Amino acid sequence: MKQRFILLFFFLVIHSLLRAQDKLTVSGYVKDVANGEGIIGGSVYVKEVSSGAATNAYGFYSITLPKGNYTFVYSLVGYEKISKNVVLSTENVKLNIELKEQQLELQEVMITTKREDENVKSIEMSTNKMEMKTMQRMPALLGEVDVIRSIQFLPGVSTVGEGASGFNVRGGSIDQNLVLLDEAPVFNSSHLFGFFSVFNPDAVKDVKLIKGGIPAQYGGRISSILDVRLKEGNAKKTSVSGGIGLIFSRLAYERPFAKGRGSFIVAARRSYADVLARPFLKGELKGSQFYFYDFTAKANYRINDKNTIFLSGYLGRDVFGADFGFNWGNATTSFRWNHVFNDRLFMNTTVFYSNYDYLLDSDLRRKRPRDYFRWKSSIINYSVKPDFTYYLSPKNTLTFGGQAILYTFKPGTATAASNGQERTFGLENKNAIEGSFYVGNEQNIGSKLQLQYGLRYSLYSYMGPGESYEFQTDVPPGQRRFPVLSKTQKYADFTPIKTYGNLEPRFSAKYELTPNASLKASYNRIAQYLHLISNTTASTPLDVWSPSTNNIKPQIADQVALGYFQNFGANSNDYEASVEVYYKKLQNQIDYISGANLFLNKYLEGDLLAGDGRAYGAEFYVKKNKGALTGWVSYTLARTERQVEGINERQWFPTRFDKTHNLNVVLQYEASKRWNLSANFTYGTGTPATFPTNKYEVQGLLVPHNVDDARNNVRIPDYHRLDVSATLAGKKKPNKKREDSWVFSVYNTYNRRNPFSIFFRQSDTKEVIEVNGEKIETPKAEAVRYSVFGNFIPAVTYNFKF
Amino acid sequence: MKPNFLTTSLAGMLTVLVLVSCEDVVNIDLATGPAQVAVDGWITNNEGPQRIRVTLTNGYLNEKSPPPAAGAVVRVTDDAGTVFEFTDPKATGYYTWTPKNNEKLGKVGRKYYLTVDYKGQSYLAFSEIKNVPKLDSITFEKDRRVSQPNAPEGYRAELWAVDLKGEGDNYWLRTFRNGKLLNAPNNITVLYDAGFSANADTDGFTFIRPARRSINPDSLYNLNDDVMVEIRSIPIEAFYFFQELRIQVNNGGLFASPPNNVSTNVFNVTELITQNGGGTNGLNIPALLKQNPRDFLPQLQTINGRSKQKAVGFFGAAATNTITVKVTEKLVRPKQ
Repeated sequence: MKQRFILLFFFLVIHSLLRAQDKLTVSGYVKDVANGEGIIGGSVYVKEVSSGAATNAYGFYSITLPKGNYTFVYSLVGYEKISKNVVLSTENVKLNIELKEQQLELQEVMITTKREDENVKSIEMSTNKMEMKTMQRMPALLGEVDVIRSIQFLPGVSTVGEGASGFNVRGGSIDQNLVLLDEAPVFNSSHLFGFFSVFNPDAVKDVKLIKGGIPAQYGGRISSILDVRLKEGNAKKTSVSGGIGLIFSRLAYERPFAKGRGSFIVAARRSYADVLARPFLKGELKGSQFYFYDFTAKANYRINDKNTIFLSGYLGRDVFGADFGFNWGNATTSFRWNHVFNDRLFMNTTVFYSNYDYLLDSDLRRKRPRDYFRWKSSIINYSVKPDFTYYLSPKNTLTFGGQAILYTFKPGTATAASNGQERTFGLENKNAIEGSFYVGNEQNIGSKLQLQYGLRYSLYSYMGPGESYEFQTDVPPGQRRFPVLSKTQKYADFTPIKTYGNLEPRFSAKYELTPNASLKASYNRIAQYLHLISNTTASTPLDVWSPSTNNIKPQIADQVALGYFQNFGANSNDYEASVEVYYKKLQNQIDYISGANLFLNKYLEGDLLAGDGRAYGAEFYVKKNKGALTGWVSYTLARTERQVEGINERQWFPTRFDKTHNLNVVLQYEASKRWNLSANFTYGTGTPATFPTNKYEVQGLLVPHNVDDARNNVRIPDYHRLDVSATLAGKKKPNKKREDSWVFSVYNTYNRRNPFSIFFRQSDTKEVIEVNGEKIETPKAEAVRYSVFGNFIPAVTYNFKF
Repeated sequence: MKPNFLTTSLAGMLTVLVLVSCEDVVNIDLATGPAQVAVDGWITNNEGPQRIRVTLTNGYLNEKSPPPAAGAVVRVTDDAGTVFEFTDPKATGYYTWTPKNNEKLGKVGRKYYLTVDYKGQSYLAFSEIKNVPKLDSITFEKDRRVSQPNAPEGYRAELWAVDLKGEGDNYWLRTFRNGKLLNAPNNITVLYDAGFSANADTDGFTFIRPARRSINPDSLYNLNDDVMVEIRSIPIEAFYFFQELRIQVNNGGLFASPPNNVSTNVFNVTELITQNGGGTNGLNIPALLKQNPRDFLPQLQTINGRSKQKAVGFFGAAATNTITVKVTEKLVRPKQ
């Protein structure tokens, strides 16, 4: 099967190569005239051949045509179209274009910046883009514009509950999302547990979420790619923007340098509740630290027509503690080099460093040298990733490249002292290398059928230093397996302990039924060699990432998706709509024995269980892009389940984040030149929970017990919430550059106490019974609804730009 | 250091910061499953009678306490072959062994088997009594809870004791204030050596600071309170059992663990007895005593796994030591 697939693949590629001859190429960059930012996904349309291309993530395009005269039309929703006559006679043509934002009529807005008909014409499916402009107008929790919380309004995206870190895509767990910030992975995308995400809205240019039909160039996470691109920095003029909200104060500064050949942006945010609270803290809380900040920067420099370099960095940290404290944060740096080899061969090479670490300290202020506990843990990645695009012909775009990643896991070294005795203990560092190669092609067959097919091969090796363990095999499933100590082996630095290889085929097809409707289908297989070890409802910042080992097999997902896409409305593209169905099969999903010990545990693998997953669903999406009223409605009908030997008697059970129905409505209304009104509504089926059936007592404590040993057998009540906001733009003064706005918002407007969970506990009231003359207290039980937000939350934010 | 401590701190921080989360007691209908035998028994090396409670599980939200499993045959056999009969003539569920002639049940170094025969089913549990360290002293400092900055100052107790040499000693601390056991779900304190986790190397240490200070009630102590702390040496299975129990009875909030049944060390061995010819002597305890009971564990778990009538709960054996002090100004140390 695999071999046949490879043969077919090469046949298709070679076939395409042979046909690309005696042709000339038009290539160049498409940029925004106002700030010089490269335009992503801009349309380049050649009238005479009724076909075209889209600009890539750097604004580059390339089209190869037979000799002749052509009319090139450059367009993007929200920008003025530009037509150019191009004569292809003797040599290739370089054509850089700058598009200008449309001056919109009163009460009209555009909430998207992409090709008008991209929904129907692009081969991409299961992909959603979200504009910063849209996010900035959506009512936000405490007024803080947030990428992760915003994408949760898209079809197929859900969360286990508000305040939980991360997001779940099409039934995948949170560690299955590759969150990329300018191509460097971010391991924990949350500040303050999960309430805010690490992306500074002032620095983000574009957000794209790929849930299915994932092209061959991406790998390493099995459920989704969240591709966050930072602004390049204004290349035309100095600009300062910022804001003051209830949580963060923000400031961003961008300006050109080297006469516009380069530009940069630096943006910073810091929470300041601690500053305000400082005078009121007394006793032990005096000197408490609780704050979080992030710093985002990016610079680009165009060396010449063929070479552009980018440097991006992110640094963020959360710090909490009085006496006992902890802090955590990500740091990423990525360096990218865009190189145009010739008019048809484009390369981007990314070199990145990504680090996530945390520290736990029982004696933050170093007051007790005789008694302390300090624990540090981190995961570090270094990677190099060359990606090539070869614009073979208007009918074929070939992509190929690879990636090498070096992982170093430092799961934890702890030092502890008790009454003056000190000791250091913990786990040894672990290394792993992941290498991958891919090749893919996007091919037009006739004017209606487009295919994208590719193959990725990933090779992973789990390496020393350290020991490898084997565990008992005669233990009934679901019980702790102890190591067989005689089989423990020691490995030297970078000696392979276990190697895995996976062939990952990718395939997408699009067929245009009419100019306004298309049918799309895709299949992808992806392997993932990282696992987030987390057994709590919401993941904590202290959860440890583990590599695949000799005992933990790589996660593998196979997904098929089928979709119908249609645009309609007065101008035929006013509304875009889609219906997609998907089925996803997941292998080697980690679960945990009861009472699993996840922290600093040498024999952690003995506490893990492996199972299968499946997820399926249908997603309905209608979006209105133009007019005074814009927004979307998305509805997802979904199911996501696990089957694990040792849990729920090996029967399939829904995951903790399974939601049958999920409805989201996002509306934005341009009420006047200065007022913009916005509302979000979300409804979700209650998440699954495990309720006890019976009870018994142990030493006077009431113990819940489920006779079927069931997992997630009932559901908590439904979740629904309405948020509203109003944005008041400041009066525009002629000849003044300054713009400002006030955002007033209310989160959870109708004050619903949405359950995050229903849990059970013994109540404070006890009954006293007499046994053989002795008085014995027996506890009673109660059910408790836990709501993360018990009230509506109003907020006001001030934003400025000059 | 121990996961609960971490997650409790995380949840605590979160609550302090957001101030908007809330917990409401709600009415819910729960299905009730068939009753199972539940064992709650600890035998010690103390003098006097010993008690093992055997009940049947009942509905979780049922106002009534679990009913007694009346008419069971409850025996403890030690590895010297001595059999101790536990009886419950008044059908209270509390099966009691009463010593005759200054007889003592628990001895350090001995292994113990509990057998319960109830309504045609036989259950078996194993435990052992290990060495227990001395509790050296209790000191106090004037303090108030971080979470209650406006409460009056109280006396925070600190227990001083040193872990026995050798890795893998497990202890259970029980604290009595004026004779009353502190028995809230978050009072469960079990130690692995001098710390809370098997993964922290604390062998031979003075008990770590959070363990030393785990003996305090929420409100801290008042002057002249009597504070008694009992330490019990417990087998490793009991340490894991209490860890699981602690998670399951303190399991709310954002970072809750999946609700799971707490493991048990009481296995239904009816099948084994039937294989061996049945009858009360079907379970060949003397033969069991010759082998290491932990080697036998996977087989017991498997047999129990096939049974339709599993038991719940825990049977343990412990040696104990206690310390009692009165809160006086003399014992107060300056605050660190």
